[in-house]
Amino acid sequence: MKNFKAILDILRENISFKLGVMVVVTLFTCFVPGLWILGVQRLVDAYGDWQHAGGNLRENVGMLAAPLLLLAVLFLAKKLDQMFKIPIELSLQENIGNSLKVQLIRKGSRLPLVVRESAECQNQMEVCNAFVGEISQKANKVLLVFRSGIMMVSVVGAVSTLNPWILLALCVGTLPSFFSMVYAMNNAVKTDQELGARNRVLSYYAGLMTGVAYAKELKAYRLYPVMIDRWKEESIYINRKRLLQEKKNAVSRLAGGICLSCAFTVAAILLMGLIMGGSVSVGAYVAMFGAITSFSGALGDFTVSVTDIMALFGRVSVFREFMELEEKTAVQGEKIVPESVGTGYPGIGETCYRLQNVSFRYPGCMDYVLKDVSFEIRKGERVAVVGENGAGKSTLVKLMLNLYNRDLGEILFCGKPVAAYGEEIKDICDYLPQDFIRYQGSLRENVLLHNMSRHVQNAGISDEQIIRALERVGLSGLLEETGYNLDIPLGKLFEDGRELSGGQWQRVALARALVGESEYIFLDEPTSALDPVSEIQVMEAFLETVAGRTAVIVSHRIGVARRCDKILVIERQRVAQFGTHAELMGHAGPYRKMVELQASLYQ
Amino acid sequence: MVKIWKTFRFVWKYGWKKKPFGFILLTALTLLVGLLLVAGTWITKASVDALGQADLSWQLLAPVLLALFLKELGLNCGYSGIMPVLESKVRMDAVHSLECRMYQKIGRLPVRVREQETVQERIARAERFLGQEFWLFQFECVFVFRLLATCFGLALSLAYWSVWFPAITIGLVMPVILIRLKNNENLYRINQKQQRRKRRNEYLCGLFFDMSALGELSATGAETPVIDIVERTAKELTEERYAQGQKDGLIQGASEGILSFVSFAVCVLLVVAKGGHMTVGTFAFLLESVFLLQEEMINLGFNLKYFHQSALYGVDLAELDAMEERQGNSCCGSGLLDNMEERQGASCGGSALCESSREVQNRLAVEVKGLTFSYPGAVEPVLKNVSFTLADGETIALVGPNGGGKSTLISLLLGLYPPDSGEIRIYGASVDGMSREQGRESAAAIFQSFLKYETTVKDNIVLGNIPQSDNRELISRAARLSTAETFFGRLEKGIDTKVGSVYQGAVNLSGGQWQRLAVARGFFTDTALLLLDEPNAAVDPVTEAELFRRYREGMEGRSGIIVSHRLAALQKVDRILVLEAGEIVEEGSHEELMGRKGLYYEMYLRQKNWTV
Repeated sequence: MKNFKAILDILRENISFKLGVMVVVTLFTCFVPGLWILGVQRLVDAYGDWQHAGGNLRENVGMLAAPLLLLAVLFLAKKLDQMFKIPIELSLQENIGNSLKVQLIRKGSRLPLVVRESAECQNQMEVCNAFVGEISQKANKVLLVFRSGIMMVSVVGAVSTLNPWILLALCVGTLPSFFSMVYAMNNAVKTDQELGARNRVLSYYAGLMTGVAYAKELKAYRLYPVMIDRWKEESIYINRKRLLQEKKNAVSRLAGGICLSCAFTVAAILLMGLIMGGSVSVGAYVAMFGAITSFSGALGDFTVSVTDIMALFGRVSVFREFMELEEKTAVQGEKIVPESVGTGYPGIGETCYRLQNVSFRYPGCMDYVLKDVSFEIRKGERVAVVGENGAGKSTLVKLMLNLYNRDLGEILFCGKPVAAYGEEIKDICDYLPQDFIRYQGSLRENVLLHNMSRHVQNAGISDEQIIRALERVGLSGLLEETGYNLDIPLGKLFEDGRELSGGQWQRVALARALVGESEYIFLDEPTSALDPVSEIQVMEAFLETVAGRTAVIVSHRIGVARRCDKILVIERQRVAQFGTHAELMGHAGPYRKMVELQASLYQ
Repeated sequence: MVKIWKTFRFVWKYGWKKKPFGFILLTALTLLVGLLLVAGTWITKASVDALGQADLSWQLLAPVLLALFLKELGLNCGYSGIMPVLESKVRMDAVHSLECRMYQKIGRLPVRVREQETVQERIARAERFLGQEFWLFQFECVFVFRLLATCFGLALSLAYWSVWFPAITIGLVMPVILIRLKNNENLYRINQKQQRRKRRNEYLCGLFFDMSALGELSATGAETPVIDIVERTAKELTEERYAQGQKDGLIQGASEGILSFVSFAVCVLLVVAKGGHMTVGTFAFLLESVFLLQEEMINLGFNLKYFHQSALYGVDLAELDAMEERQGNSCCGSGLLDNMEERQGASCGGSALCESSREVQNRLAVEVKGLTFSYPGAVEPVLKNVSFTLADGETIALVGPNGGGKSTLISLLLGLYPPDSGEIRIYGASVDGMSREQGRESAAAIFQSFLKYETTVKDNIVLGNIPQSDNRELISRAARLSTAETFFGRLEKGIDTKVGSVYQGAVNLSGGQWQRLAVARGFFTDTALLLLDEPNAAVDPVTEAELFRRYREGMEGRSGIIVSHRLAALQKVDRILVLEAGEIVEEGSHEELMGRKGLYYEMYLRQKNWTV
């Protein structure tokens, strides 16, 4: 029932007044088939009478005029729904699809990142997305249920003016058909659920083969036959299951069909009896044939659309559950005005970040990613975070930006818990993750990506600033090539787009972090796509540019670390060392070991 | 129409024909249903005429009733009972064999062809045809056939009374179909116009489903503005289509109503003009037939559109299937023959004669002469006149700035790309596109964009050499050499642990861990030549150092080419080639190159000064 309400809510939100009127008119036209039957009955009877009266062209031909006129009106009325069909379908399909999709991604953006990144949540979102696609395709089926329902009622009503027993025969005869349909539908949903995991595997193999990313390796190792075999195995299994279910459905549908045929025949016999008795005209018999055709058609539509909608019902709960997921915790207490964090406070050299015994683990995991982490960063310091793969460096940055919520301990930013800043922290700090976006838009949009809201409001970043940032990261060559045109589209999305090399993309992304001139900058392995020579160039320029600002840089490169003011070494989920290059080199510790290891290679 | 035919022929040849009985049965059943509808009009006539007779009795009505029952049984049981399961069966069989064929075809296409964007799009459309559109295509195939049969039957049975009936009905309903086609065209044009905005919107939407974009989007507050753009654009697009749809719908509905009434009225007048010779039964028959003919014709117009739409994707599949599988190669004309001979030579390794001739060749693992290669559409070649040799058992390094052509050279050595000119020989056998199948016996590679095979750890490793899948010793050797054992050794199920996210309960790996699995895959191979393309890009410096230490053990008895940026780790290789802008600018051992004070010296010093 909750699901039904959810679907109704979706519909209500998307139906405007104008659309409502059109829908009502369309529904009204569904009464036409009933009237139509009566019109045909009149016409046939009038023809019989006219023929009886002599069938003269000049005399009595007016007898036919009245039923013809009635049919003319009905012809037009019948096509009224054609007039509104396209607008209604468009509104229902596209508006509902669009608004649900926007709801979905908005909801996604409000979820805590740690939840959003979990495989579970991604699966859920993908299922929801598929659901949205489907509902937008099938939204007009809701209308079709009503339409075919009304049509059936109108036909049955018209038939019942002839004799109530006929009505009874029709109703009893259609019931098994309904039940077989419900049975088939339940089967289909169940089979779909059973095959869900298998289907995912199937499409994974298909994707491996059709995608181009791994084409070289698959080809070089001659792996296509292997993949095809694996794919075949899944495909055959799924097809067999599906067919089995279809066969079961066919048996039930056959039974329904036999009952329906019997019902129609019984109705015909009853009608013939009435005609023999003389209480009904021959026209009624003809009309009934028309009625049967309309009725079968409407029943078919009804069946299909109800099946589809019920299948959707099964999945609307996934969407509902997703929409009800807990969002980011709201800011408690008074919000901090970002201005207070701006230029003046805290002053250069004063503590801006203080982490005390911070621990964190991913939801559902036993092991901590970070344990008892404590350190302080002063304003204006450039801090390098080094450590092995999987030591927890990226997680630490995300905790400092309030993207994740620490489990234990305290993270203070400018004296207040970092959580208290809520969304405001995004305006104060800038962050470039390891997986940056290759934004398929213009060069300008690419550089302004982190300042989109400012950009949209047209508040402030001039083209000169953009160009300066691009030049800093070593993209003057690209600018010159394109004649300083910031509107050229980048990427492969459009035919006229300009595809950049990995290194160029990385530089564009770095320009994003520079252009906003944030006081606090966080970079996560900013040079992994650059060759060493370019890396050195870019990092030298970058470190120079951010001098005086607070920067946290996660990097594997000793070269980067030794040029920063402080180095934070993370080892096995804990802070192993923290200090300047000189200080750390003075102790026998992991940092010195790392430096010596790398230096030894250059002997 | 041509496209429908082309698709039909292809689908028939490689899909339905595999199990022709099902498809023929389906068609026969369809035809039967179509004709049953025509028969229905005659049953109406018979029963009304019977009812009109003076000496009406049940005996007279019995055959009519039987016919009626059989007709209904045929429609209700045949059409909605058996048809769906038959349709599914035929569809599943056809799609399965067509998909198999498509994947095999994709596997045979040269990599360079695969990498073209137009080919990628074609594959995507062919995939969509089999995934979504095929259902519609088969349905329309059958349905349009049924409509044609019904229309034809009705027209014939109407013509029995007067040719004017079908002529008038068809003549007047035709414009309705034409208007529909025109409307479709309008819609198509709008779609074309909106395509760019639509594509962009889809891309923006996709960002929110892309794991790797999440961090940046949510940390920088770019989400809300982007969602706003998505919402606004989507609304705008719908509104434009809505306006057009409203206009078209009005014209369509009005024309359908008026024209079908006119054709109907004219038919009635025709009957009247004939002066009442027709019985009431015939009149009823005419009414029913004319109505039905109108409906079915309009249906036909409607379904032809979908038929055509779905067939458009099918054409891509047919074209994909017909694509050239050999690499377009300017210099392979003469090379083809001796290549064949060489292949024979290589395959007769047992005989003493071949053995000796191989021994001579074996001294050179790789021989590259005057190699030039450019990507399609590019002005500058990526490789310009590159020549070098690699002796058996030797390991050399390829270094140089990004974009210098290092990875391209590796692909060429594997025979994945055909050279524009020049020659590559691996253990004496020429590697151009033709000898791909043989390449396995001589060269294997660890790829820069390696495969993350989301099954078990073991599967990831043994992919490199499937015949040796059960050789535990080899697997653990490869795992040790790649340092991969350090992380999966800790996992509960060891090498049988499922990794990735496709299977439920699989373990997620980091980039560095995946790369170590790819490296293990490379060491699992048993070819004489191993190519390593940046095998250390995703691992941390400590593991990297360890990896390089173990490489030497892994390369024992094999020849190798290693591409890397970490110059310090490469000093131990036999020779270093410096590749810049497609040319080999320097060649020699580390000491020689340092002495030359060229590009290598400069790169090395810069890295050294930056690090130490």
